[in-house]
Amino acid sequence: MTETLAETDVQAQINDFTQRAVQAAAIFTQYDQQRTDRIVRAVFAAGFDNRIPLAKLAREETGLGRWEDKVIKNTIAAQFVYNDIKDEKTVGVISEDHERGIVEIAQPMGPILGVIPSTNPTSTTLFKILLCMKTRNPIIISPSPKARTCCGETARICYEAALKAGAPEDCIQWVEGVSKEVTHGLMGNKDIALILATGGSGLVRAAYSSGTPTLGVGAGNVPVYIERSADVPFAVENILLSKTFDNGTICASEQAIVVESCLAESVKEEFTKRGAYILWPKEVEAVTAVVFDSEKGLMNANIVGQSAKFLAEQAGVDVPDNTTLLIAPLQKVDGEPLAHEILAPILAFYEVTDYQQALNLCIELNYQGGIGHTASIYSNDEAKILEFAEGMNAGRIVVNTPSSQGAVGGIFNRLHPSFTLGCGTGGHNITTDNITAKHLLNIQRIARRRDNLQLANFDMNLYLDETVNHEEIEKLFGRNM
Amino acid sequence: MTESFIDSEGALRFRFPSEVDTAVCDEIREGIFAQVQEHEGEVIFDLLGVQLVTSAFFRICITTMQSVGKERMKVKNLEPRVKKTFMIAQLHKVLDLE
Repeated sequence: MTETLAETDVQAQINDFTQRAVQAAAIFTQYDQQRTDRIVRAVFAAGFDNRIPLAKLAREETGLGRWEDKVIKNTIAAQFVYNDIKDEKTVGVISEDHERGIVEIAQPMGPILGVIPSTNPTSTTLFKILLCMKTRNPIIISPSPKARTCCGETARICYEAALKAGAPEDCIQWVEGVSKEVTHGLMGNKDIALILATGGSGLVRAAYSSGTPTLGVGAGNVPVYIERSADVPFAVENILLSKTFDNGTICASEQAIVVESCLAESVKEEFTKRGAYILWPKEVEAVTAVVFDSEKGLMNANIVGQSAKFLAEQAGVDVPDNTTLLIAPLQKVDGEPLAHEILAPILAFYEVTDYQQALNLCIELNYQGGIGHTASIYSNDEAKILEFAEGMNAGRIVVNTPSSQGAVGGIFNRLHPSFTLGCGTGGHNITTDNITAKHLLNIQRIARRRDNLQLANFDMNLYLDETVNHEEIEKLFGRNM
Repeated sequence: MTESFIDSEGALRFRFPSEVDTAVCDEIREGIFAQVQEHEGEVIFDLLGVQLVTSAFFRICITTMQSVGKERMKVKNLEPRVKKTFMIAQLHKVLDLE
């Protein structure tokens, strides 16, 4: 009986969310670009002005990462994303090609379900809300149970700002309380137009399985190759900046360093100088037991976003107080737990004899759970950068750049700043793009008549002649008139 | 802000400004409900010239319909863009749109 009541309650919540969202979607269709952009600016301003309290709240609630780094994430999600999309046309006619007779019109998709992970909760919420407001789509935020309060607060702040700027009622909603059942119910609801699924593989798979169109993400396992032409101190400085950022919670952060023997010692030395600790083989075993859940074959959820010092303490490894990163020298990839994605400041380290071996090892790492995501190279040899890129199955190949920030985009390169990184079909996603506003639009195309003159002057009866083959057709069809 | 009158067929007809936003709805809601209560014939929301409606206006439509009954309430002269809004919100299932 209790179960039935609970189910009824869940269904009532789902109906309430979707009915409100559908109405908001209807109202939104009337908004022009100017009215839309006013709302986007208001949301950006509110998100940016609250970047610090929201970062602190996220750290406090989830216990993951560093609040100072979460401020940077919130800043990227608010300011950088806003700057990236603010001048984009997302309402009405967005392009006209008179020669081809094609006019493109942007239409909103309808209610979007935004699934939010605990690793980047407030930033991902800000990011998805901004994209949805820009594209006139209402959004329902469904946070990880570990990040309900901070995501709800982010959504509330954005919603109040949006309303003041004239947004439709209920254009931003968020799931509170028992979220898992509601989230799954919303995923399969006919009124949800799209799911923006950022999170663990189970949740992303559930979104895809719901039958609702989904823009999802894949797991990362980022190899970083320091090629012999690289500037080693620069590379090490950048990798440290990236891997220690928010204690490694970004899925695009480096997971394994690959270096040729000629550079290995200098790379280790530069890391040590900067506060990294190179583990001894016995210590690698101890740390592995702590960070990897061998039963599940995945990283231990309890170590996600924790500091290097904390990881070492848990493993009973004595490290200096100023240790920022643990480095585990390894010999092989297959069957090696630390060759998997670990969202904490620990890196695998591989020394290889030459370039070919390095490339092969990076491919092996890439295919060890990180297909389609991101790969990183430090090099000043253009030919090798290109060969490395072609060898990787990765949506983003970042060059001489910290991969966490590089893959997210907007700081070190001109990729669209995004907290939802498509991983292509390798990651079971539809795109390798950094998801941005254009992905949340239905594009209509007015196709005006432009007769194909070649066809107009062509004897169509030839198509019915069995003796005419493709070569003759091409010759005749391509003949000058 | 709104104009209301008894039309030639004896219906109580309301006309609205071009944007019936939340602020407008807050001002007109009680007046509409009071007039509707006193009128025994048909009620028409004439949306000629209305370019934008909001959820608050949807609620006024629904509450009025519930008050007088679906057979006595009509929403007329919708601009295509506003008609589409009613359709997306699925209000064509509960309101008589003409």
